Amino acid sequence: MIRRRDFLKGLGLSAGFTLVPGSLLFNPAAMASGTRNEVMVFLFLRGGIDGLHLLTPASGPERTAYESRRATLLTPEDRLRPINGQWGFHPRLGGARGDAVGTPTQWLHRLYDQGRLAVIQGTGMSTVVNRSHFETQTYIDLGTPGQRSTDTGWLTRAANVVPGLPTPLLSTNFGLAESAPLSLLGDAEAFTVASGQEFRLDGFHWSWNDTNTDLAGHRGAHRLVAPLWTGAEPDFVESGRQAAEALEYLREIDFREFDPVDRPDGYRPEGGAEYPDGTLSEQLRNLAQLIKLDTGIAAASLDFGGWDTHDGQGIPNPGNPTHWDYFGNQVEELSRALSAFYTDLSSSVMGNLMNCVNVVVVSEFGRRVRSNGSGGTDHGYGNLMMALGGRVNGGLHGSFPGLDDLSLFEGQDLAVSTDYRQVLAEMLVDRMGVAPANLGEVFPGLGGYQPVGVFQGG
Amino acid sequence: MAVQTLTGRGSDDLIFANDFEAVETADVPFARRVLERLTYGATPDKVASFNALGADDGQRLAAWLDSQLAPETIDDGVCQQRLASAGYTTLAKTIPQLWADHVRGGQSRSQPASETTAARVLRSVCSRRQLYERMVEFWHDHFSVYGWDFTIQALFSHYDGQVIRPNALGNFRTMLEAVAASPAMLYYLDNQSSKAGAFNENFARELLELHTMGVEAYFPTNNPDDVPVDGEGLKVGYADWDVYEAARAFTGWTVADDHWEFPDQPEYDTGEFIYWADWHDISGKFFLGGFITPNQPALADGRIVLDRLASHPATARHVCRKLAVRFISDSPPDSLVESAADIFRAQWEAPDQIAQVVRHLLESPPAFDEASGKRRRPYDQVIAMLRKTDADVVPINLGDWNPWGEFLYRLRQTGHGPFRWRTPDGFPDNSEAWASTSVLGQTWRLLSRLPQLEDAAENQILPVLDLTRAALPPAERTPERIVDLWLDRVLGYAPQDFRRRDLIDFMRQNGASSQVLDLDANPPYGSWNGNDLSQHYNGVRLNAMVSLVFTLPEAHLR
Repeated sequence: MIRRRDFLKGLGLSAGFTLVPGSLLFNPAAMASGTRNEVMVFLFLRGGIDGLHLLTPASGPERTAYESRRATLLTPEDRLRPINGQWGFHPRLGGARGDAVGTPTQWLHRLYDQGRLAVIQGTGMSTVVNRSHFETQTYIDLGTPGQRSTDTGWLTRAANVVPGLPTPLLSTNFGLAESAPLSLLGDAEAFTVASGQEFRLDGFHWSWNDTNTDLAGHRGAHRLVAPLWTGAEPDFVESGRQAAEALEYLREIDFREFDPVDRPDGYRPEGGAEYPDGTLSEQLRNLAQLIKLDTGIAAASLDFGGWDTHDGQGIPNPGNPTHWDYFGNQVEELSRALSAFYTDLSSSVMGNLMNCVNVVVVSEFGRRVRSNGSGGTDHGYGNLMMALGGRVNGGLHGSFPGLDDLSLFEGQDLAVSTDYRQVLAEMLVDRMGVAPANLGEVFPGLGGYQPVGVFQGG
Repeated sequence: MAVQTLTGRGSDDLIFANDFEAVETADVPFARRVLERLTYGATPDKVASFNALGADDGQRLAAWLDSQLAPETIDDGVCQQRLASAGYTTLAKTIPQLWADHVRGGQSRSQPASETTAARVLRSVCSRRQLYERMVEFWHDHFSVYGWDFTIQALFSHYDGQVIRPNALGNFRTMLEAVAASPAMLYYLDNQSSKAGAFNENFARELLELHTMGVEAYFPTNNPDDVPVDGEGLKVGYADWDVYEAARAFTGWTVADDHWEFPDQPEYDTGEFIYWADWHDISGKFFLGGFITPNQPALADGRIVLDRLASHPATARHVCRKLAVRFISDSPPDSLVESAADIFRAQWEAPDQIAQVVRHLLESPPAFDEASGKRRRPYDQVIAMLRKTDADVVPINLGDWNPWGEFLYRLRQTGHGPFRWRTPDGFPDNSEAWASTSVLGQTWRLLSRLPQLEDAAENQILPVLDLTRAALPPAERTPERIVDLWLDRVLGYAPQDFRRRDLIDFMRQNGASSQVLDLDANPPYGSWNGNDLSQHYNGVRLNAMVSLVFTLPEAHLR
């Protein structure tokens, strides 16, 4: 748990303090005093993404095994965007619904080609088998497979062992979500905000809504809330104080996208980054803004749901703009949002900020290899993970456990060859400077540290 | 001016310190504890009627529960009149009507879901059957369905009106089958497309994990022999095996939705539940340690599964613990859960099984301990403000921004918009889950807005000014009296002292806390007075102060 910079502590108790104005964002020189620390971004694909539908065997024995089991939800080889002789990405990772396979790759697929996206195959919980969303999500967020009663999340514990964390303006740990993520459980200082721009007390009548500086002594009613949440009682008063302070701070920043006429103080993504519509995209944009503001964020947790495709998952048909492709729509939204985030930060006038931002994408389990009768897939076991960043070793990692009868787990699901915690552990060691000896505090029961080779040290 | 700026709390301020009268922080009165916990907000008149029910707390509680657990005996004519005056057209429609009008026909697909939401708000505010409405909410959370799904939204008024509401204080087994056979749940958890040979396990898994035995009874293994047997010879939990067997039992439970395998006749395109034998897996099953022999008659496999689940001890414990968490505390005593579960199980075939269990829980000694410390979820907080300000809430013109579209939009932003939880586990019920900065911020944001909402005739929907003027004659409308009036109305006891002073400071601005405020000029807003903030827009400053009362930490307790 990291204490915030002191001036926020005085919030509401003194009339004259000023907050960092939004315009600071557009004055890179003002950033020079910042610490520009490493940032972990933990993106959870809720519902269990069908990894086999995202990265699909294109030829060879795995293709044969795949075709024999995926009878009703089979992606034909010529609809994949191949990445090597054996594997192909879902075409929507690198193109829109109407883009034929041959069109140039975009977004995450392009970042893969540039060596900035890693895909780790055969990931999951190696020590626990469980096919419940709620248990597996809980295990992964807490970082303690098999233990649901852990009282801290893995990011909460990670902050205790990451050396040299900055003193943050708000918090080192952020949830970009409506409700506090379990990965941050037990961190009373963590901030959870769904939307930067929507998060402000603005409903009072105009005469008392904002502070009118023309009237001596006038203060907007919003400034009363933080003082009301001081004191020691009731016992949950700290959570309200956090919220009230965050409201006051974020009120000063314009999180809307820049417009020369309507929103001159708005946020201007760099490098021509185009954030698509959608909540994930807006949250990533807010996160990029907060990172550039150098508030001392060291970890952010985000969710992207909708992957529980028991029904109507859809088979891609690139080039056909009206084809039903639910899974592909999800993939494209994910791909475009992450790619915009990468472009925005890597092209900053402050330098390539993706060199200190490390994204890991995880889901609770893979899906059954055999498709069901509803055009979907049921809960399975092994899956894949992704990592994105300027210090990521792109390409395929891990070992694919195999789709033949002998290799499948319990004869039905992809097996697990790499424990998901090893990927997170490697990010902690190589990027965040955690000593391998301290990994046990973050992931008790992990056993030995076995680097996967996804991240670059130093 | 004596005071140029408000530098902080009243205690530092001479004018304030001179005329401030300290108020002791008091215990929360018993009637408040019961009514804040079991209704959508206690009001002074509800507290008074509760206190008139008997000679001591126990008698009053028992009499109140007698009445509330028999909701049909409570005259709810006023609320029903309001509901009728709203002119909702979808609440009483049958499934074939909803299907014909809102799925196949050209009428708005979302109208049944939005009218159900509006009716939910209306009833929460005005129904006198408050415990019943609370139970309806509980079961919507328990059998949670995302009401705004593309297909489900068109049928959602049926799920609320015909599946949840009739069973909310009735029999669990009856409700379980009504849910399993409801088009809303069949679509939500994909059972409508589950067929022999390629079953869809989604419904079966959540049936065991969420609706009945609970994930605490889950043994993550494919081998049913790994699950031990209890003293009665029953399996103590379920394995993945049991999920797959249950899924097979429910194959063929589907919806008449004009599927290409159905006959091309109108009766197969009504949206209603049907059992389609061609899709049912007729082979024998082995579920929870017992066989289900092959070739059962129509629906029998599924009903046997529901019987075994509804009568199982794990189900009784799971449901009773959730009820205790909802109404008593985040960590209810195990002994209470066990004694309630005994009743749940012994009465599993009784028509008033649920009412019996609820009475047992609420008449138990721990039920209204000061220490239980449940906090209001955002919906509670918003409805409490509407109730405690005597707002006459009839949400209409739901598609218009002003005012109800805005209200519902902002309610949704709190993360607690009715029927908007996407995953089948339902809205969380532990206080921690609702303590995030985002939830609190969005809730306060809506509270700040509520008193400014106006109907089409530009009347404020919350009669804050009228209530204040009616309660206090002009000469008594001082900042101190006004704040105390509202603290008493909203909390019924004094909050931490400095918080009361902060509110008085805000009301008085540069004036004294005993200076009379003009609440009659230019209602409801008041007038500009930049030279004297103590008379600057008094009406809407009052509104803001009342919103701030609802943002108090004390107002978050229920």
